[in-house]
Amino acid sequence: MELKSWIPERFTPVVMVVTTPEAEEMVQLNNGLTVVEMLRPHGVFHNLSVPVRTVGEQSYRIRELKLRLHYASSLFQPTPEAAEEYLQGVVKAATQGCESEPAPDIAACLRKGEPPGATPWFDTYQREFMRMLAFGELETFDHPVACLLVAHAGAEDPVQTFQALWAGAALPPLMRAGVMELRLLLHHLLLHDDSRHAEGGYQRAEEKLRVARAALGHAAVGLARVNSGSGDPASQVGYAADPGRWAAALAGAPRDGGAGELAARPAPPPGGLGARLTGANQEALAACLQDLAVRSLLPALEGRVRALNHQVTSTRRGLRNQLKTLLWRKASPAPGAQSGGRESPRPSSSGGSGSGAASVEGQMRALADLAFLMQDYETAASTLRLLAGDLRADKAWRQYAAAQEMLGLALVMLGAPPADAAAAFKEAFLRYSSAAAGPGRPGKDCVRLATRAALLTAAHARSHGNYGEANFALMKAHFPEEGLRAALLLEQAALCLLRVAPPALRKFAFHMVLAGLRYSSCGQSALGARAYRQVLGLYAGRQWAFIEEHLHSVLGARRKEAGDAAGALEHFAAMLVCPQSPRAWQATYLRQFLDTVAAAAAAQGESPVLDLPLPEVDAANVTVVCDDQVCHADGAARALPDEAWRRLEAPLLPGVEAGLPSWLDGGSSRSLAALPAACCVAGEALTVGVILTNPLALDLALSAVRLLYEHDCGEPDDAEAEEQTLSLAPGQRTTLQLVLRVRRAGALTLRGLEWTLNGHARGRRLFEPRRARGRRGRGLAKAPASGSLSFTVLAPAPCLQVALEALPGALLVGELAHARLVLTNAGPAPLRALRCTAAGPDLHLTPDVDGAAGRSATEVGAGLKGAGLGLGLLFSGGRAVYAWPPALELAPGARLEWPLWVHPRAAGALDVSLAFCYEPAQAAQEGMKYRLLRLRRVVDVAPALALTATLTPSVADLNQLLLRLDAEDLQGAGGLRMRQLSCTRPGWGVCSLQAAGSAPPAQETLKPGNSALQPAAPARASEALDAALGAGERAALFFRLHPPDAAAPRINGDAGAGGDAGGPPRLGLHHMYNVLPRGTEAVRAVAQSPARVLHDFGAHGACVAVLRLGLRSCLPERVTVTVSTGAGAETAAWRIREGGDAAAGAGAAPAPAASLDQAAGLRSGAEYVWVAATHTLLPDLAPGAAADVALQVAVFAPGMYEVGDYSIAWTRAGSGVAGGSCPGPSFLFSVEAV
Amino acid sequence: MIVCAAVIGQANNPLYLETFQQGSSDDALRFHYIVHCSLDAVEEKLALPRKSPGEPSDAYLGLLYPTEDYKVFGYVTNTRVKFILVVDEPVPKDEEMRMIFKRFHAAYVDAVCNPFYSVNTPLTSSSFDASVRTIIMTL
Repeated sequence: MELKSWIPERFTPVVMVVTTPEAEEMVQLNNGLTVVEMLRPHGVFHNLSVPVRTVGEQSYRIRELKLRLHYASSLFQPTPEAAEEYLQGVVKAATQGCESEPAPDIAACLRKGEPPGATPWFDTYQREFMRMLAFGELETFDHPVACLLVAHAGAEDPVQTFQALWAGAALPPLMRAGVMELRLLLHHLLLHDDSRHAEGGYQRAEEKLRVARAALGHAAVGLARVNSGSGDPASQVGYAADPGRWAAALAGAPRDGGAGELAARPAPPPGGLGARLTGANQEALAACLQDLAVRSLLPALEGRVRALNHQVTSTRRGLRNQLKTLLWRKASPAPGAQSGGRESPRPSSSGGSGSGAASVEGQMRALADLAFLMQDYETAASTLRLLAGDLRADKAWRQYAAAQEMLGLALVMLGAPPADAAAAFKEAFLRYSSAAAGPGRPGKDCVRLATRAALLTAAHARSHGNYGEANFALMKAHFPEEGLRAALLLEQAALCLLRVAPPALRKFAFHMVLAGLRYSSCGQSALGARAYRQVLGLYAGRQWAFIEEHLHSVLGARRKEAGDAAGALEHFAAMLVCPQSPRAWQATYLRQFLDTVAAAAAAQGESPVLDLPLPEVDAANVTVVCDDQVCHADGAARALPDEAWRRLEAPLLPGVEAGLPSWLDGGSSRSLAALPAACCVAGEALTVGVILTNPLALDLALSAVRLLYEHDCGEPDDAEAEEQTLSLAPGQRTTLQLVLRVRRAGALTLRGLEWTLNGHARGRRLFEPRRARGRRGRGLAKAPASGSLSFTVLAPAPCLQVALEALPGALLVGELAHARLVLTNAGPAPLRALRCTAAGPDLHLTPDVDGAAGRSATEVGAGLKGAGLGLGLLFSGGRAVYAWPPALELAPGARLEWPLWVHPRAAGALDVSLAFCYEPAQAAQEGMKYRLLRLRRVVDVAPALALTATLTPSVADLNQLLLRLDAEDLQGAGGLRMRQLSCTRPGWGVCSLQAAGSAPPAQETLKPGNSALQPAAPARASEALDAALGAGERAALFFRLHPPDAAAPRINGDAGAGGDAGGPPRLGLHHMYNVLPRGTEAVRAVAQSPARVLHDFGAHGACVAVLRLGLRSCLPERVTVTVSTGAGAETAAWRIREGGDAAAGAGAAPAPAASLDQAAGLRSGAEYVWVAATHTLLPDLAPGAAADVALQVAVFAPGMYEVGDYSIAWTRAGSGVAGGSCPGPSFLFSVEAV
Repeated sequence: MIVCAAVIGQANNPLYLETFQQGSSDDALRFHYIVHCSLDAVEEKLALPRKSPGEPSDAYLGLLYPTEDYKVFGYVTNTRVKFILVVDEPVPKDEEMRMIFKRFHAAYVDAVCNPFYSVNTPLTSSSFDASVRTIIMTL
């Protein structure tokens, strides 16, 4: 409401209208308008130029004037109850349809910088509220200043009729009480009815006019013709054709009338309002009213203002008067002041002709109001200031407040500083409010007046952009008010908050919610819901859980009350996720929601499908598992990275590993390239993993959980979606796997998930797959729903399924396990060209299954077609590829079993990964030349034995080696039994060390047939043994290793040890490679001396013993060996027997330690003499060739001799390059006398 | 002592709101209300013109408003994340409050640095909760 335009419209002279029943009837019957309503549109004058002079010497011109025309009987203030009832009706009418229109989006409005404006109904309400407060006793601007007497021109004697009319008029109550001025300017109007042909016609009426003018004064009587039109649209010139013109003149009225309107209005005639009024009629009426205004009313008002001013000046203005007033007031306070408030100025005489307000204050007020009406705002303001001072001194607060209010309006019109006007309005509000604190009726009236003052304050503050002050005034005004007005004030206060800088959004929301509550409590639930909806938009998605809960609760309840169960469901559904609420509330909300679902289902005939927030569905993280060209046997296979599988599969697909098509690939590459990124095969299962969470503390039962999808085939039975039922415990989070099987090729899009909550509420959630992160895009923008969950369904294809049976979950290192591969064609088409590759050397497919090679396929498995079943083995890309015969064809449902050997060599997790490749047996279809199957198991491998082998050259034999085997049971549980040791090098044999000498200690009977793995191994190559190993025990075993024939310079040993844990025999093998003998010799020499030499020293003093030295060349080329005696150091010693008993002699190879023990008996010195050749040459010894050299030594006494001072030198034959030399092994022998 | 601590996001959405008072069950509701109302005060303080151009803005906003039982203090980061503390008697000194807020801010920064946290979502990290509780308890 713009004050500057509203004030000149509202504060205008009031003309009281009294009509004769005949005149009234004449107008009402024909036009559907009362006389006042007919006259009102013509009471507005523009483009006047009437000079007036009120108080000062200066005259001014009135350009615009409006007359307010009211019936005399309606000039009273309606009772507050009637007024409230009427105002309720006004708001109801103004807000019709506001519920259906969407509430403004506050946040969006603010972003655009255009806060939502005042609500349209509030302007209407404000105007009507002000109108309901008119004709009060505190102000005089509503008091009539003239009286228009309207009579039918057909009256016999117009003068008498007018006099009788005035005498019998129902005067307003305040006029009867003397508050209103009774000395009114009288104006008379005769209406001539053109529709009825009276005698004499219009001339007679004019005659009567002359008579009346002669009696009542020329200017005081007018005549107008009405009802000249025939009622047809053609005659309605201008006005009647424009119904909006009348709408401004028609105002509503409370139940019993009042506020300037009659209680009842005539019914509109069929021709519409003003049907029989022609343009000429209207012009005549306008001319009459302008006569009244310009020629009678303004001069009369001028005179009254001057008279009042004179009176006021004589009694109040001037120093003498002021002093007198001051003294008199101090001496005797005003009679009303003692009761806390001065009554309205009473006339000194109760007679009707006296002054309306005889007291000085009354006169001042009347002067101010009249000056205001005359648009002389300065006089009004100065008078009101004077009056306010007086009333303040008198403590007549109500009158004071009214004066301040009027002063504020005058200041607004004067263009005074805004703060002055605002201060006046605020003062008025304050004084009204304090007066309202008193008990009884005046208090209640004062509340309304205070509200009016607050509304003026707010309007004034708003027009100056001071929204904070407007909000403050409205908030203060709403406190004492109740019902609808309080709600409206709160709403306006809230809207003001949006315009302060920065916008106080939360305060706005809070005020709005309060307004909504007030609206709901006073029956304006549509407005209440609107207020809530505005706030809801502000908080949606902000996660202020309690606030949203309250808003949804109120809105839901409101819509349910209104019978809109479907609408209520939206709100109740939004309340369901309330983890912050106690369990009991959650249960209540859920029950309330389910009840409403039932109600909505009853209303609509079927249960509505809602976007339910329960349970929470992670729509962004949906996993889809399906097989396209690459199939995975299970989750373990998927766990391995794709790169690893690609490396494994590369040998299977010779043309594909490069990845890029070239011209060499021909058509096949095109078909491969044409394969869409996301595809699945018709008839095969598509598993969708959806994460569901129950955020509540209640159990949730979900039934009929199924996928929503679109398949372009359209036939409902072409796809089969699995339905599941599950229940979610409080707080439970679970991943639901749903299977979808599409039977026909086409395009498939997964849309979302649908479920039924607790058996009643049907809910759904659409998937929102995340867009894959681009190279630059770092945000997680939501892709459209049709994004990455679209699949191309390919035509049915063969589908190989492989099961790995009889594979234990845990193995020991070296254990040999026999598993079974079961290959089945689960697809609808036959497959062929089956190939397989395995990761690592620990897996082995035997090329022959129990002699299946060469047998026809039908003998081995059902549904097989093809010639033989032998498994071809070829190496490609560094891996073994096992290929079944290309002619082998697996029909749908056919089954093929094949053994698989697993032999883990290292502890840890053994990755049993197998990749299969196959092709459709029929002509290759577009895009699917081959398919791959990935199979993976992980087997735990535990360490079994720690084996260490040591090889040393045998001291007794030129060719044999000594093997020492250390074994430790790492299992720690015992039960491992070593069964066999084999040397796999061809020709080499192994035998127990004890076998050659004394009785073997731990050897048992040989177990034949345990060399099944190496049936071709020579008999000597393995040594059976049966040594049980205790827990954690270390055992050392000694073996002899026999060379095949010629000695090899390097020995690659391979020993096997078998574990036997009892029960069903579990066999294992350990392999050891590159077991090399310690130390290397160029020429190996073995002393082959006789142990005992008998000699008759009596016959011969010297005993010549022949010592035989065995030599073998260990070098790869031919060498020349020279044995030189006596050249070595004198390290040999001879031993003399003391006491006669021989210490040694029995053993063929006496332990060196034994001789050292008796070192005390040795005597140094050359007790022997080399005889015969000192150099023995062995030219040209072939590699590996052995030779015997005989050396002779002479001794002279019996005893034990150790002879070692000789050396063996060798050179490479032909090269002449010196090789090396080494001392020869010592000979140890005893010489005994015979 | 501090009875309620809250972190409010850029869009004035609550990221973390925890009460530290044994008592009635509608505590949460009440403190939600108090924290929510304090946001208008935060915005008012932010809209105040600076005393001199180029003056660095102080993250610590001081006392936002007093309620019947409590006093509400505020702190705002450069990214317009607000920290609100509701304090019971006895009220700590201004310098002390400033230090508490700085530690609170540091704890928040730690929580946000978690690569698995996405900005502007509720802070559910238990380590953040624990560090906030430590800050509260040391007062």
